[in-house]
Amino acid sequence: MNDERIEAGQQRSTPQDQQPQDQPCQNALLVMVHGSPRPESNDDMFAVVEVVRARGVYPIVEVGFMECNEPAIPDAIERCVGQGARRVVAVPYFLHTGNHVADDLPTLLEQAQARHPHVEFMMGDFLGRDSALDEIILDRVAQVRRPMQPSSLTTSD
Amino acid sequence: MREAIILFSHGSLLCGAGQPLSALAERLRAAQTRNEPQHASLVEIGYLNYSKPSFAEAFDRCVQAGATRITVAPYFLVAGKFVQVDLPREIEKQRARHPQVEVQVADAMRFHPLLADALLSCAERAAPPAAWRDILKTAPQFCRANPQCPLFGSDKCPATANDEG
Repeated sequence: MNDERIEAGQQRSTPQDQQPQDQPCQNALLVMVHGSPRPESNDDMFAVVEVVRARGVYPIVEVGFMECNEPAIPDAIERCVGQGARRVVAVPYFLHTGNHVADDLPTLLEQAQARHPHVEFMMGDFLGRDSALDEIILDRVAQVRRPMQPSSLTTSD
Repeated sequence: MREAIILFSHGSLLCGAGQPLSALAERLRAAQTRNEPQHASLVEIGYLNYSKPSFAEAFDRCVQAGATRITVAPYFLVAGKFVQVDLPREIEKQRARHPQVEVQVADAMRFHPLLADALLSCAERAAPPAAWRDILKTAPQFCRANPQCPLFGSDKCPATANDEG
């Protein structure tokens, strides 16, 4: 039953939409962020998103906030669709499985799906589930640990 | 001299919310043992609110296991109030109780190029709408019958689902 899957980054056609397109099917990455009353708290996240953008995997990359900051997630989705996104992959920039990840974000995506039935919405894993965080934590530990036995503290990059 | 790492986290009311961090701690323990069998750091999780073990309990565990130096690594993306105000307060309390233990505080995750890798990996594991609420389905496996859990009293909570038929 598995039909051919084409790797991300290449063109693929969505079954719902048969109309001919002169532009390729656009993949959008939507980064869903909590938001903060201190807008400068988002600077590091924006820097991470810039790195993601530069990798070029997704032709459209947008950030949307749940609270406090603009654009709100529904507005960020409109930006994706407005740029021609036919498929939106929404990733929660969250470490924890609180109510936001478990319930609020799915609700926002369901509402977006209802507004845009021709767009395929997918929800990614939340950030806290990725094992790349292990090395980040160990890097942060290595940065503050004063060496005690030079041989015992090896960090590799 | 024994090293310990305490992963400092906020905590959550939702049962099972700590699973990803517990898994991370488990992976770090395994990596420590693998890479530094003679000097493996202890790895504990200490929560500020709601979840157990508390930061104080985590600190006690490290001390009881013989730790003489503890590095506190905030499991936070942003160094906001919890990291800048609450954490130093927690650490001062523990320093008073265990003055012989050296304590260092690491930075929050903030910016790291690997966060971009994490973000893209999370996107690769994206799922269609039918799976978006799977977390709510798995939370009951970790039910602690906590009345403050958002699922408590709902038909999704194993502790209360049968109460009202």
